[in-house]
Amino acid sequence: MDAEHETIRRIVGGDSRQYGVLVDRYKDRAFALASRLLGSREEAEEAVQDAFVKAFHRLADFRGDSRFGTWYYRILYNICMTRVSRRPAGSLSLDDMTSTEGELAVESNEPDSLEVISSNERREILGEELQKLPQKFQAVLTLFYIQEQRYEEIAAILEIPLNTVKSHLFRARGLLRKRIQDRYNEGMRAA
Amino acid sequence: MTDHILRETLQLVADGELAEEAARSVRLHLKTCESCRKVYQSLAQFDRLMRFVPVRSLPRDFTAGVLSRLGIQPRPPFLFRVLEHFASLVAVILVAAMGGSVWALLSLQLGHDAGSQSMSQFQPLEVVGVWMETSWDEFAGWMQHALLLLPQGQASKIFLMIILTAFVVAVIDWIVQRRGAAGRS
Repeated sequence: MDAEHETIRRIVGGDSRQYGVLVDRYKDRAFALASRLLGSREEAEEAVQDAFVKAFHRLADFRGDSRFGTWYYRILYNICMTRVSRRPAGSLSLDDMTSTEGELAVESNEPDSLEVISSNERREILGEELQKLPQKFQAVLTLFYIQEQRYEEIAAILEIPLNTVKSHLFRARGLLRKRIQDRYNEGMRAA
Repeated sequence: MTDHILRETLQLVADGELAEEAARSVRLHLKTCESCRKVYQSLAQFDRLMRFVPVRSLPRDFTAGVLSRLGIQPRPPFLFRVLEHFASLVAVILVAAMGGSVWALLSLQLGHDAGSQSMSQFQPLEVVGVWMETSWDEFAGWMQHALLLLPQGQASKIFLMIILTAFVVAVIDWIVQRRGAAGRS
């Protein structure tokens, strides 16, 4: 049994204070996911807290056949989606923005802008452009890169087929690269 | 003409999601094909960048807020626990010293100490005074004995005392935490 499952065993056994260890371990990455899905810092913080409370009450049901993170992110994702679905129509419908730009970028023969822009600038631009991507793409990218979940785990969290995870990731990366390239080109034209 | 590897496949290798045998053959191909290698390096560079996308942090008291909503008393900070245990330790030493002095006084009363005065000869306040004086003498005597056992030199004595105290405090903290956990389960 690994340390995390041992911690969970102790919490379920009554040592509730140990839950703070799990919260500390996952809170920032969970916040990154919720921020991407909800777009608002305050709402994301509330969602992360709600998810931790819900996860605690359901901890006895956690079978331990996956990582706690995967199980917890699933709860968080559902909470975020419920919040999104309660919003007035038209306030956030990022999924509708899905385009084929990503695939076009893959075939692009332009020089790779990532190699030219300085590393700090790249991170900043990446962060900004990631925020503008369709929600489902933000979710897979955040789960893969920030939550460090594997394809199968992402599929379990988002309840989508494995091949959809692969295709979302592929298109999301392509789209992100394309947008960075466009930004770079605009900057070059303006200079 | 060399067959190039699909970008999707290269991405699976970069993600560590391609079966090991297939990934090995892709890596072999990358050694000889510059075109595929360039694509792979570009994908890997993008991956490295993505892992460093800035992540905003939650407030420091976030965890305490979650625990509070669950009705769980958060674990006090380590420094606070150390002070708490240190105070407990001092209290235990004082109680032990007092116990020792009571025992000494009882011996006095029973006349075991040849040539000493009987307790009945003291007024109540004097009894307390003698008791406190004896307690302090006992405690000081123990400390002197303990210090004699330590290496010579003021600095090393102080250092050793700190180490010993820290050790005792850590043991007490461990016992308290274990008992707390057992009590709740």
